Amino acid sequence: MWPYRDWVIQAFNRNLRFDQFVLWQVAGDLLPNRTMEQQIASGFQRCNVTTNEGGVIPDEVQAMYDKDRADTTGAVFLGMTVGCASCHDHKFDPISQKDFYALTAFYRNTLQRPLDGNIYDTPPVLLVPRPEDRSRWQSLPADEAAARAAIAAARTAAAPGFNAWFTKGRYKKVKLPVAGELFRLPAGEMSFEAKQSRELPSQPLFARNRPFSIAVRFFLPKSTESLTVLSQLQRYPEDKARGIAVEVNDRRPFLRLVGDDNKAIQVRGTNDRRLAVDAWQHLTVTYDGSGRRDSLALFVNGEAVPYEGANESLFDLMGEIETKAPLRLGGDGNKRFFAGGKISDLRLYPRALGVDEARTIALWPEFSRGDRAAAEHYYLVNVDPGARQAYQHLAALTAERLAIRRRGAITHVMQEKTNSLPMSNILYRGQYDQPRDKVEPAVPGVLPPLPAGAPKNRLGLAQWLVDANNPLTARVTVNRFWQEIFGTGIVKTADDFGSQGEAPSHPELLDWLAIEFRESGWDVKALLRLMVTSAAYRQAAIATPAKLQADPDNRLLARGPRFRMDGEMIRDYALAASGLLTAKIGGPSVKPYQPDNVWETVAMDGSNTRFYKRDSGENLYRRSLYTFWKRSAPPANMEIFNAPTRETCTVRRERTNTPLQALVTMNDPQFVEAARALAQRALLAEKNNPAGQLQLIARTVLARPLDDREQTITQSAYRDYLRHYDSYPADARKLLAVGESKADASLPPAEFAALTMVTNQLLNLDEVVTK
Amino acid sequence: MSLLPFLKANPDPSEECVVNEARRQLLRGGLGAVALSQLLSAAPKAEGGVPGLPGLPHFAPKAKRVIYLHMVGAPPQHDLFDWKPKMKDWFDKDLPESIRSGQRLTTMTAGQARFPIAPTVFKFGKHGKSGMELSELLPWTAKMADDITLIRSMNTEAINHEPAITFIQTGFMIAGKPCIGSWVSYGLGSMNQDLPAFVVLNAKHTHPKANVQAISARLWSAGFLSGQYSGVSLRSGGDPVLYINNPDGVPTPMRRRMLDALGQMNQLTAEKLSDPETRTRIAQYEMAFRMQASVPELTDIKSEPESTFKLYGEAAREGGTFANSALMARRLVERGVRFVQLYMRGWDVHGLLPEVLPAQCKDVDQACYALVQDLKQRGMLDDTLVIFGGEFGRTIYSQGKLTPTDYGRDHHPRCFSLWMAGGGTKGGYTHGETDEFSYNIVKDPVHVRDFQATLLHLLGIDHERFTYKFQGLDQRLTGVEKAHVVKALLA
Repeated sequence: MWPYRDWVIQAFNRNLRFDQFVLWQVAGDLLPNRTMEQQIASGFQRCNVTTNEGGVIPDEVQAMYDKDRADTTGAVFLGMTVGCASCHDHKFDPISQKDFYALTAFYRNTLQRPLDGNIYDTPPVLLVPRPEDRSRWQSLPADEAAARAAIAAARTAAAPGFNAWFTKGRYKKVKLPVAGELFRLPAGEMSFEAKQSRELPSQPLFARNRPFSIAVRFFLPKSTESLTVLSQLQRYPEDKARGIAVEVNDRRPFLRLVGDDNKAIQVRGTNDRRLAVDAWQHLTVTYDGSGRRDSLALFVNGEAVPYEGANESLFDLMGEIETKAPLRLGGDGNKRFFAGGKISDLRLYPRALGVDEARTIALWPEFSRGDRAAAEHYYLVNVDPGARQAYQHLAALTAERLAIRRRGAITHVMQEKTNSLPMSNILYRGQYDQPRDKVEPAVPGVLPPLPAGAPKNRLGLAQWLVDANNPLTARVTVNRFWQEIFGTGIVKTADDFGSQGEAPSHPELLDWLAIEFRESGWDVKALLRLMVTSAAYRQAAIATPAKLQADPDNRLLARGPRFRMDGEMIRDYALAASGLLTAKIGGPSVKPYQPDNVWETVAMDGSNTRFYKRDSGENLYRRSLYTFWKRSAPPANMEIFNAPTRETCTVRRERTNTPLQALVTMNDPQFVEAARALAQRALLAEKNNPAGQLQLIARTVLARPLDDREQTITQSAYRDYLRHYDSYPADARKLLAVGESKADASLPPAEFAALTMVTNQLLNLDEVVTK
Repeated sequence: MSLLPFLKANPDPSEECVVNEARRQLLRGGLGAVALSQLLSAAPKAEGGVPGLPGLPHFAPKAKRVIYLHMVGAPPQHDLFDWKPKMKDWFDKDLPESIRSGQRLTTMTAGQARFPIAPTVFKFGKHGKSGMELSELLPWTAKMADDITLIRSMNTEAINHEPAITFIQTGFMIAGKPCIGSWVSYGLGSMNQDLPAFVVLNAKHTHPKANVQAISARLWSAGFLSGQYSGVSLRSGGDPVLYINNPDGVPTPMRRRMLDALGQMNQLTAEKLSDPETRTRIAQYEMAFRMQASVPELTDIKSEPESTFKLYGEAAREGGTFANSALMARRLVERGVRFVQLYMRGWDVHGLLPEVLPAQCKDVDQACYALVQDLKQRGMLDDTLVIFGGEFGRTIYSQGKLTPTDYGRDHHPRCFSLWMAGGGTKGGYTHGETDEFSYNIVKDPVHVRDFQATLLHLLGIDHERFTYKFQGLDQRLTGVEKAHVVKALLA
């Protein structure tokens, strides 16, 4: 999903007009001649929480998604609590239950299914190639078409030669031209009953650094169960295993390489091309020996399976797959079997086969029986020079395509069904199984209608949201930006401009800002510049008793705004001050420091976000918006600072002031390491000048020097720290070792540790965490 | 309730004279607790030692604190609490349609061609003065049958874990509302200034084949109430409270010295800018320091006598086990924590029930007994409410293949069992009855809402008057529909 995040970042950086920002996120996929960017932007609608929990009822889940999208539309663009009208007419605002369901209708013509399938690339998704691959990605289809034409031409040219070769029965003397076979099952069919599997001697071929291919012909029984065709797995306690497995799950073929701690890399067939049951299949799976997460490939009945997701696994293979366990046919040595299945041919190769070889093997029985089509394929791929070259060229292009896919990223997008129109039913008392009247997509009746000519779908909704006649979107938006800068919106209840929300503290200002914003061309940077250069913002944040009396919460802006920064900002601030923050923009999410066991406590056993594996290097020091976010167990240091879980839309955060927050900024290794890094900068810049070191740190974190009293306090503390670390050098060493980056060993440890404590102290100042 | 510890938590001189005046008046016998707490509520809120809302509790409570042991996944009532001997004659017979009467099925069993009845393979016995019928898998619970109230007629509408746990915890199937612990923390405040009012424990289970469901931190979140009322997770691995420990190389005296300097500098800021938040932050750092001492003291079970481990079992020595968590729960309430919520997973016996259930029970049974007896011995059982139960029941019919020795049960919302002990409940009492199949309730149903209303009642709170205005609605834990306090349970 990170290409969507990248798009958001770029949109802000290049100051994309806000009306376009809205339009693309609500309906970018529906714009005429849509660009990849616009499609990526529609991923906004895919940020909802999804489920695949066993036992859930699709209609119920769909109703929840619909409500989520309608609620979000209301909160973010309209300042309307439309969700209050899901069970009955809104008790306070002019929003009927019919209005609510008419709003959900805009979102109900999507190809996205209610259950997410427990995969990370739930369709509809878009492959986003890397920037350097984009132009090749555009030109590839034409080249592939040309290559296919060349094959067709070569086929025609080779026809006379083939006819002669075939009629003469030359194929009868041919051996399978795929070289290097290491192992083959003896001829004959093996059947498998329930709970039965057969053991063969262990294959040392299956090891992390050895490429291999498995070509197997099997009969898939009538079942959507999870089946294991063959495996070589060493079993361990607590249901762990190591080795390889070829499986069919819900009619999709899988190859899995299981390494340390049950973590596997895998490749699998696509959703839309599942295997036919009650039929023979040929499967070739290959591994290139690199251990990389994209090192696997799958060929079903001789056809390369396109990657459904460029990164099938989130991690590279960890540890070994080599075991002494037997090669097992028809089971995994534990609970999985191949009941009703059969295997008639199994070959192992010590290299990764290509698509043509896979196809040759797949077609071999037909070829041996004199099937003309199979024979022709063999002839063109292996005998006729012109055709062979044409096939190889296409194979090279296919490999290139796969490689670009693998390097690219998947992002979730919106896509409409083409054979239906969006519609909804009013749900009696909001219950998913009590649908009543049908409703078409419509905006709440109390507001102006869709613009003339706007389609009755998401695109029309998006156009309506940013239409000049829409009285809400601009006002709600400027209010949110005001909230960002001043701490509280002009309308405090930023998601509720209705009668139960608060009235604006400065209604004329709100209107003026809304119109300014719209007339400026929805220019976000201009708006923010306007706010931060205003006299109101530039006031000092000094509260006098008179001001506190007259304006306790500073709603009337008697003084400059002053409020604690968001959790992300507090972490970013420490990283920036320390010099550790990297400037890198974009890319996949990262995993910085996190205490143990935060994920494990809540995750399911099979979850790929069960074990938190911290990144290293640069990824520990990215801006906090890049931190991988597990919604059911969010990053602890963010959550403690009121970061929302992101399970539902939140436009306004709480700002609590708790001891748990104190513990984070004092003790989180991220902050301690940042303190140490800043202390190091000071020591290197102001050698042998403690007073100078102190002022450098102060100027960095406070943007001002310390005054006399502050200097006295801090220097006194420094002396006490120094005395301790002089006497306890082991403590100094330990403190300096916190964090992955290495402390500069040339600096005197006691001074270094003492200055780290000073920095830790300063980074915890009220003035530092507040803006 | 002692207010003196709280008074020390606020060093702000201007607040102190207000509070000192109140103290003088209290000592003169002039002020009631209500007015005093109103004065104190003007002071900055410190987490811990905060009095609750003025006017609460509404009436004299029986329970001052709650330990809620939630068995995630839903334990099967037929095999543990709800004996249905007639089912032995029904082995492998289909559940009659008249009994099922339109109950919606989960998509896990909706595809089954048959619904064959799976009688329990476990034996039941009658226990205690009331002859309470309990399974052989719970011998220790059976020993304390006279201490517990067993409700066999709990019911819900939720049929899947996520919405069901959310429902019993927050009163609504969709996330976003505060959980019980947050409501209680908000309404009643805390009794200890050094520990959070609402603590969450997550216990692990031993059987590797137990079916584990995901839970989520939102189960102990404060929803639309202020985030300070969220549950604080007491963890069994690493830092018991996140970030509680100073980094390596920073011993306590160094941290104290830093806090002194920090406090002095913040004081200058407070004087310069007069932002009330600055003063609060000073207080919170001091509270953090106190927690750094109180939490290790709390989690240091080595100070417990041998008799404790004899009572709870050896597993109590190992961090993260249920027994250890139960012991921790007692230590928490002993130190004034108001609400302890424990989650233990692995009860979702869709299959392999006869194999997995005994292990799950073994993990919890002795420790439940120990907890209740332990509280009793300390004279705390009468005002501590202990609760044990899941989020729904399980089906009488087997999910998946049924054999004489193996079966599984699917989710079943129409009836389930739950027990309570202490805190004003009746000991040795069974409430509610189900039909012969433990499928429908025939007597005294207790809806999840009723359970919540009763819980609040035992804490001295009228669930209809305890509200919080949000989005124009006076929100209640028990929601908008009618809920009844189950008077019959009250001692």
